[in-house]
Amino acid sequence: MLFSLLSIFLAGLLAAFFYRRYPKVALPVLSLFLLGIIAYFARFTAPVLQGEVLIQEVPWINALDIHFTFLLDGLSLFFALLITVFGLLILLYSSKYMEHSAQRGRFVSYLLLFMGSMLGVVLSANLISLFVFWELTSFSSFLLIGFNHRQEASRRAARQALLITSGGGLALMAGFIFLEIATGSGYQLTELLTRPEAVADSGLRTAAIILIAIGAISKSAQFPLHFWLPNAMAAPTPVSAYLHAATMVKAGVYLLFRLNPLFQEVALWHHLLGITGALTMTLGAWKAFQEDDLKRILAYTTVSALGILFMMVGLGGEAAVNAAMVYLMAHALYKGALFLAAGSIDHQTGSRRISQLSDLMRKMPATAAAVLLSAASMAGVLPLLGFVGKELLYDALYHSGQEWSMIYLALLFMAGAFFKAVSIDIVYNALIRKGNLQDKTIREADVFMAFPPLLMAAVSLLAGIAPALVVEPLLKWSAADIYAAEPSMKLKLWHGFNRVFLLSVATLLAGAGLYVLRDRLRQVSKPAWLDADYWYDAVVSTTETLAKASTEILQNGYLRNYIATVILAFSALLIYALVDGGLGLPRPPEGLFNGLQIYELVIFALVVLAVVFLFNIRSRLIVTATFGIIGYSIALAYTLFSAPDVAITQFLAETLTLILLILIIHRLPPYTLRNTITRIKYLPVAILFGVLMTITSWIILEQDKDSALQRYFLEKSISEGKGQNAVNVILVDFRALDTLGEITVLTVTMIGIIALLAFQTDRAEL
Amino acid sequence: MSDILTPFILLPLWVLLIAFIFCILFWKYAKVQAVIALTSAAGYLLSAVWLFLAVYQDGIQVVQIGNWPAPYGITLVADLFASIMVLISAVIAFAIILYSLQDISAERKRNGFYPVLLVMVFGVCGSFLTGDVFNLYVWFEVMLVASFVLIVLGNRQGQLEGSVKYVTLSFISSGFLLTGIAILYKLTGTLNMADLSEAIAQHPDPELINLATVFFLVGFGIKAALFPFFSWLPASYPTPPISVVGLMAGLLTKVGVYALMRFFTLLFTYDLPSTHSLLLVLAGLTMFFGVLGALAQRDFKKILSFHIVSQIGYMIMGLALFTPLAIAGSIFYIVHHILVKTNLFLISGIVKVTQGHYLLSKLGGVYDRYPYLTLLFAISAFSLAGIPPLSGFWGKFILAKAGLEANRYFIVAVSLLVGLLTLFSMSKIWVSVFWSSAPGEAKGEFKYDSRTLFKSHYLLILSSVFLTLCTLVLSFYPEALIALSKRTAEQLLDPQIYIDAVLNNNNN
Repeated sequence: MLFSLLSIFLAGLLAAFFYRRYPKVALPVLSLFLLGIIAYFARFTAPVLQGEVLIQEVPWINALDIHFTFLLDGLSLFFALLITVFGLLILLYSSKYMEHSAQRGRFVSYLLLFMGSMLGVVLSANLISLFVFWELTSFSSFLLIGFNHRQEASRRAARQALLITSGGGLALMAGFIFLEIATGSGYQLTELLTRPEAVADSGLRTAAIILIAIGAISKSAQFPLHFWLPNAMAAPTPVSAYLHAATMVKAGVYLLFRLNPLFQEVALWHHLLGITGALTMTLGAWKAFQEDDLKRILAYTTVSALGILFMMVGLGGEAAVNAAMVYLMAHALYKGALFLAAGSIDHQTGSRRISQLSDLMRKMPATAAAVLLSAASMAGVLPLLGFVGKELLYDALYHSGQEWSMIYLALLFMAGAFFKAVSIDIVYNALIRKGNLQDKTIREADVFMAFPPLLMAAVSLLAGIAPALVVEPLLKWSAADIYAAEPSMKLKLWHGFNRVFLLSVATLLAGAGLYVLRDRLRQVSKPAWLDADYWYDAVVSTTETLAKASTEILQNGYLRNYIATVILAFSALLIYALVDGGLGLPRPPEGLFNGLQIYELVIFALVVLAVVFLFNIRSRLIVTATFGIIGYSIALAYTLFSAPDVAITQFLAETLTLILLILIIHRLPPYTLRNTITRIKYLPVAILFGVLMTITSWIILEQDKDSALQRYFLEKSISEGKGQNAVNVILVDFRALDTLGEITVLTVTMIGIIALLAFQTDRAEL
Repeated sequence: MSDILTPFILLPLWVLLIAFIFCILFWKYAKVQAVIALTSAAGYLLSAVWLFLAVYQDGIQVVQIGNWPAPYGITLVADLFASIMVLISAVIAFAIILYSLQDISAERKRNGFYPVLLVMVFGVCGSFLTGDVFNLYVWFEVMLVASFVLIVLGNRQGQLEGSVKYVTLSFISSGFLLTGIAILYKLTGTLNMADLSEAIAQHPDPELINLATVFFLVGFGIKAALFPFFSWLPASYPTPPISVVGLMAGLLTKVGVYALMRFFTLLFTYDLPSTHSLLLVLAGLTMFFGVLGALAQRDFKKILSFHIVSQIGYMIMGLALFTPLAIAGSIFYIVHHILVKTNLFLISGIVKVTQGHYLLSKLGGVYDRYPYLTLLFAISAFSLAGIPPLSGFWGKFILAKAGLEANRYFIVAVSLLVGLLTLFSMSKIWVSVFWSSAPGEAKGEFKYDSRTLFKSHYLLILSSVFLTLCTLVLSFYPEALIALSKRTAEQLLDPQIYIDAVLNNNNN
């Protein structure tokens, strides 16, 4: 399995280089390759239908217990086949659809990157490798949504989708880590799923459920994070069909399916997912009903359909899961076909707004047939797979007995009515009605574009007529993996005239009614804040405003503020350390002024005078020069402590630094600090700092630790260092490396001076 | 002399010092200097590998300079952490010198660019290797003055203004460090880190040590660009040429981080609940305000500069959590960050070559015109943003895991939020520089196409490719570095290993 994934990624890489240059060779080769992959997975059908589970382990990061563990059971096999078969159809379709794009090589490359990642998601049995693939699907979706990257709308939609899904991904990662902390199962799904009690006992279960749900909600476009999906329609249509209808957006649902055995006993799991799903389902259906653009209609019905799946997981129980599984399959088929057909229509007529379309039954019969069948499946009309799915949904809700099930049922009835109204709208107005396209020459789409949707529609029909033969064998095992028990799915098209069927008929009638009233219902005006996009923009702009405001405070361009910030933060820390340590205000050390010499006082006076003088200067140059006085005074002080070497070093360093600084400063604009109030503002900061430093010195000077170093140096400087002056020996022998460093510093300072003087500013460079 | 018996540690320093001296000897011949610089960079890289292997196989390597026994002389120590840092600094130095051959103007090369660059790396390397607090201060000075001259070199007004801010805050930092060293010396009577570690652990008055801790925290905090001490970084980094920025962005702040990690694992561990909680708060604030700063920018280099600040927060977060996994996370993050961040600066320089700007609003169209450049950027940028399986993700993941294990939920939430904001910011660059059309595109303002760009600037691209390959190895085969980081973390969390290696090595 690892090999199949790697080969897909490799194919993607090669496609980037060769697909555009050799389309005649690349397309057949790639199609054959994908057929091979499909065959590879199909080969496992036999054992999986016996209830077998295949596992492959490939070590990756031992240090973190992260491995490529692949698991093939009914659920992952179903998804693997869905992904690969759709992938092949999409590839064929886009070979024509994207024919004239200059970047079709990249397009195919991204598509394959996505396919490999999505396969990785459904095959991984290690939570972290699953997560890695999960994020890669988000990322490839980002690249594909932004494919028409010269358009602002595409760029915005791509970035929005990336941020929403990756943001959810971060929550998901935290949730996975919680599961690992709770169970210590090395992220292995197989082990993890058998230990719900460990998760419950850890006290982390609630957090894990919420975090994982956020991940799934963002990925599967559930309310309130649903808005990225309609915007993602900026992607080329094959992408919408593949990622944003059939596969990627189902990743969230897949994850819920996968983890269902772990949480199916928990009320929070059911309520959270059920309510989120029900809300999204209703909202999406209503929004779809408002739209005129085919792709946006399909996007909102997808949001709604994903809501149904969430709701069914929330409802829980075998019947609900069976229904969800069938509905998922039905949805993938009809929605994929509808998207592709919409793409063909757009491609051939130049529009995908229903109000501008007409007559397609006659102009594009093959595509129209696909639309007709698929729309019927979407509306849940006999004898399509959509009908089977809808019946199962009603049935599961009707017989569930769960407290919320009747509310869910009522909402599903509403959503179903909207779906039907939308289907009628599409079929009647785009296909049947005679309108402005009547007299135009419009040709049927190329066979590569007409065939894939027709095939999907045909499967919808076949599966609807004989569900027990076509889809039940695999779906039953998939569903069984979700509730972790023996398969219990029994599919048939016709269940007789029971209450559920009556409900279906009622939905159809309600849908027809909605269709008739649609002009009036669509006119309902709504305020801007009801739109989720409005909130996204609000969050983004608030973040940016906050960023600007905080940065203007922290990084306002004035060095004096930076210094003040550093000093104040330092002072706060030091005061805390002083108070917390009970060090208080010490008295000056005794005998501080004993033996004070007059020349020491002179040096002291020099320093003080320089500082006072400093306060009154407005020129940077003179400020720098005054600093020099202080530096030289300190050097003088060294000579008093019989350290002439240190003093000389200090003189040298001081002089060179001064020259360097003055060279720089005289090229800068004059000092800007003119306002006296501004100057006085910094006085308390300076005083505070001075006081704190004095207190610290007093405290430290009281400590007199007998130093072994001192004794050692005094003892050895003559015998081993061969020098009379211990300071001297320390500098050139005991700690010669320090001196080497200082010499280097001086050399570099000199280089700096030379460079500043000699450099001819070349204007060519920025 | 024992120096000859254990030359591993000194070798990297020797190589750089000798190269520096020869560059000065050939002052008038910029081309010769370039050859010397590139050769020494390769030599430095090789000797760093050698040092690393020696440490990896034989344990901590110690050299007593001048054969004065510890704690009396100066000791150089290469443990795993130090040798990893030396190695990564060598990788960066090599890439930068390669890049600079085509990036730096002839005028700069004539005025001492190479010798000063070599000194800066010399300072960085020395800071990693020293086992003596005062000697560390000296290395910091070497680094400081060299980076200062590098920022100034070129004399443009922006550079000069940036350099004043840089040098002023750096001097303040030096002042704090020197005072801190003085306090420690007064309290313990020693400067050797291993000796200090023991002395501090046994000191009767931890509240006095606390004073020193504050000085070091602020001093190193400025160097590492922690909140609220980071303002020098965005003020000065965007001003000099890319080769200089790349080197500083990759290495300088990380020396500060290295020092913090060294001091707060080896020395200041007497009161973990207070010191490391404080670090955790600073880490959170640093990552948050750093990324906010990045969001407020409209300039390629400035955005990248603020992200450095933000990511320093992640490294300190690992230190503050103080579990083996967390420290390992920090180490992994440091290595990842150095590679990726330097590379992003290099790439911004290549983008500038194509269109002459760093302003996002004036850039565009790279995606169509330069697919390979786009790929290079994508790998580093989305690694920085933590998209799996790129290296940044592993760093983020390890830190999140360590934080959640330690029940530090809030900091993990902050770090994940900051990750999202980083993605927001990186995707902004991606969208405006790579996807959208350039304002001048219609007028044919592009000087090069993909092929001529490579032909005329192949060294720029090659050095970026070199760093990208390193990132890819970390991304797809993180096992090696993670295992190594874990081992390093264990070594750091058991200071006795370090102490024994330094203090019981006096006999030879």
